[in-house]
Amino acid sequence: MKINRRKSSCAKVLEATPCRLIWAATLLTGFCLVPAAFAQLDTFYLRDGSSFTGNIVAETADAYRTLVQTPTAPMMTNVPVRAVRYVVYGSPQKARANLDLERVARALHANDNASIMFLPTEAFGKAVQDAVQSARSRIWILAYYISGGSHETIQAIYDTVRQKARAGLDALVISEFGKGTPMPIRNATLNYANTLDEDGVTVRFIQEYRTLHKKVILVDHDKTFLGSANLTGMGVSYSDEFNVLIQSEPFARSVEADIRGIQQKSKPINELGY
Amino acid sequence: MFYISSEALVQALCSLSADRGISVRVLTSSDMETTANRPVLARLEEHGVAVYVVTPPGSGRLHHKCAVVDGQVVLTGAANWSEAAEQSNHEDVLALYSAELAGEYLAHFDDIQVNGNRFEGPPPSKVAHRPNSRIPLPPRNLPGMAATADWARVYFTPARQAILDDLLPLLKNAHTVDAGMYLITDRELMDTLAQIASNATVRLVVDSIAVSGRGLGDLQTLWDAGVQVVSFHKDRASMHLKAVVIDNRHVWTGSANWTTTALDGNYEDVLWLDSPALARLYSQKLDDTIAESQSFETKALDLTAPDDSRADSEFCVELPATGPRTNFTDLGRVPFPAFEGTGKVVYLPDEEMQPALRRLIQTARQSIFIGMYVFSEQKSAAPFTEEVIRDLEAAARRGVYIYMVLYTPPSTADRLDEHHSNWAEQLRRAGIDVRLALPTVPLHMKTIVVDLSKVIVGSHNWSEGALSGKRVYESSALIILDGQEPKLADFILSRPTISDMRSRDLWRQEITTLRHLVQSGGTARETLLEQLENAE
Repeated sequence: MKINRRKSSCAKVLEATPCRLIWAATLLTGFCLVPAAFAQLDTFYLRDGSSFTGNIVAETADAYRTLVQTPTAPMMTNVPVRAVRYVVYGSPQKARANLDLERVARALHANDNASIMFLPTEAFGKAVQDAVQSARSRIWILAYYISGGSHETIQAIYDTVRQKARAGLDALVISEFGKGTPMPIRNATLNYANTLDEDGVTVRFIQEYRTLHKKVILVDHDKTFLGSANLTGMGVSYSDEFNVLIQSEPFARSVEADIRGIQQKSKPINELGY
Repeated sequence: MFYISSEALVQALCSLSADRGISVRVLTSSDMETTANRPVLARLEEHGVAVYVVTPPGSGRLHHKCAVVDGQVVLTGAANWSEAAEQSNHEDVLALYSAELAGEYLAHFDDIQVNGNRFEGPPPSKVAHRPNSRIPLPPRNLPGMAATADWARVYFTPARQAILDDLLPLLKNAHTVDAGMYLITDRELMDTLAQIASNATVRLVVDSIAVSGRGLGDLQTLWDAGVQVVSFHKDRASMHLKAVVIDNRHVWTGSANWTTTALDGNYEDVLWLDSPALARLYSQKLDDTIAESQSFETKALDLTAPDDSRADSEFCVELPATGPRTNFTDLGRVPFPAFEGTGKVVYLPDEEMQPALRRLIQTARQSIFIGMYVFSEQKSAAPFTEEVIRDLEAAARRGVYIYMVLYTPPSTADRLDEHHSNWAEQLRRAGIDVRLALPTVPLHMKTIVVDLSKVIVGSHNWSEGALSGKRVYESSALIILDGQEPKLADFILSRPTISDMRSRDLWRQEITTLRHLVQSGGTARETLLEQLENAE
């Protein structure tokens, strides 16, 4: 039996774990099934780095029962789950059905439809810059750190926020200010907070046992950025980050409610204890 | 005083001046004149304290932490008048009952005041004399311990050469040296410690701030020379001492770190006291500090090629093979473009994330990809983390492929260095494909992708404080996509990692090599790369 593989090293896996890798060479005689079965092929990415395509017809706890096109004829095989890194199904419909996506979404109350932009490091800074530039009604920021920074993207973001605040847009920044915050960070934070405040940005701080580690930016009533990146040069140019931009009004309302709760617990600059 | 923020001490100064009519003069640094700190100076001025902002010529700073009371008592040491110093840090404050020393300090204050300006706050206001206001009574028993010194000398910097003229001979003839030094970069002092370490017992505790960048290489050199280096690493606390005990007799302390800037640019005080009793107190203090610190990396650079026999055969055979060695010439971050999707979403603030995370892992069918900055220490009482670990191990037993890339800090002083290696060891044995990111790229993401279609992205690290929602305010989002997105796997799998994960020895060897590469530059780096290539 021979299956066309994009990389031939699977043979090593077969030798290494013969008891688990039983490729049932069940030849099918029903050639009439072939056109429909191979219409939208599923792709297997195996743990040995190779990949191949086939049509998964059933899944058990141990194997994917898969119809595979060989050079001579189609055949049914059992692909052990333990040889597989991941499978990309031939269609989103098949993925939804086989992965139970709708049931999982319901169980976890993920009910709000959204379009999502996945944003690794540089893309995040650029996307935030574009979003604040086009903000019409509000920019709310929850940040672990705030500082003007020397990175051009960060400067551009904050410059836009300040400019919009001066023009009357609702601009709010809530940041962390623990009592044990090292002095250089404390000074940089307060100095920049003062600068923002002078431009009409409302700046408040959390100063309690719990640390504010959220990194959230809410723009207008439908756009939410959140993820791992702080609004710093590190966050948009150096560290390996992953963030999302979620466009959904109901999602933004949930975020807004959380920010209002944080705001109630926060203090203005002049009430901070050092 | 370099930095004043302690409410109790600010109130005491105000009260002395305003309520008791005692003359109070404060010389402070320009750091106190920033927006953040100006209110403290303004408050002092309002209560009649004469505040001067003093800046030494050149680029130095006033870095003192000393006071003279009634021309009789000198208070000095490493401690700023801040709450961090009072409550969290390792610090020292000496009360020296000596009119002679007090006179020297006052003369120095007068000298440096010439380089100062009266703080331009609001004009002093008349504050009514209130004899019964809140003046703390002196404590009946002073905290700390008493000792007498037979002899003392004070140096006011800039005075590097005068200090070295006295200090270096003492060090060169020493049998024991105990040093607690927040920062140490002065080349001559470091070279001297390295030279004497072969004949003398030299212990050095530094703050974690000293173990970064070039400092790491310098401390490695000291370690290699035989200095017992440890580093203190705690959240929100510092090892802020600048104290050295020589031969259980001589104590050197004050405000000055062992940096050229401190000794030759700043306004600092350095005290030399001859007192076995005081030396005992300082050695005890350093013992306590060292007990809370971590030993410096002992691993030397190993240029031999990896040996297959060192691979750990207990690792699950179903994990993909790892190795060969990392490409040492390409150690940067791999950029990845933005990509889009549609789906259902829910916001997961604080404690709402962990149950969703568990559910995703429990219902995983094929694959789990994780990129994580902090995966905290394995603790005895961390129920929220334990639940996640149990779920992951159960998913691996079901045959779900789990790939987890964890951050590797640039320095061994960061506790995550050891914690993440521990997790890699434990979880790889459980069949989870844990990889360690390159120490040259701060992997800061906190992401899990299940079956290429269910994603949690956010700020939640996998620490007990974040997962429980009790210690940290966090925000994440759960996204259930309308279908699979293979780019999510491509993204996480393309994060650069240590190649050889066959055993702890092998990955530690590679990480050590990478740290050496980062610290070296120019020709040294080229030579090292050539050696590594030849070793292949």
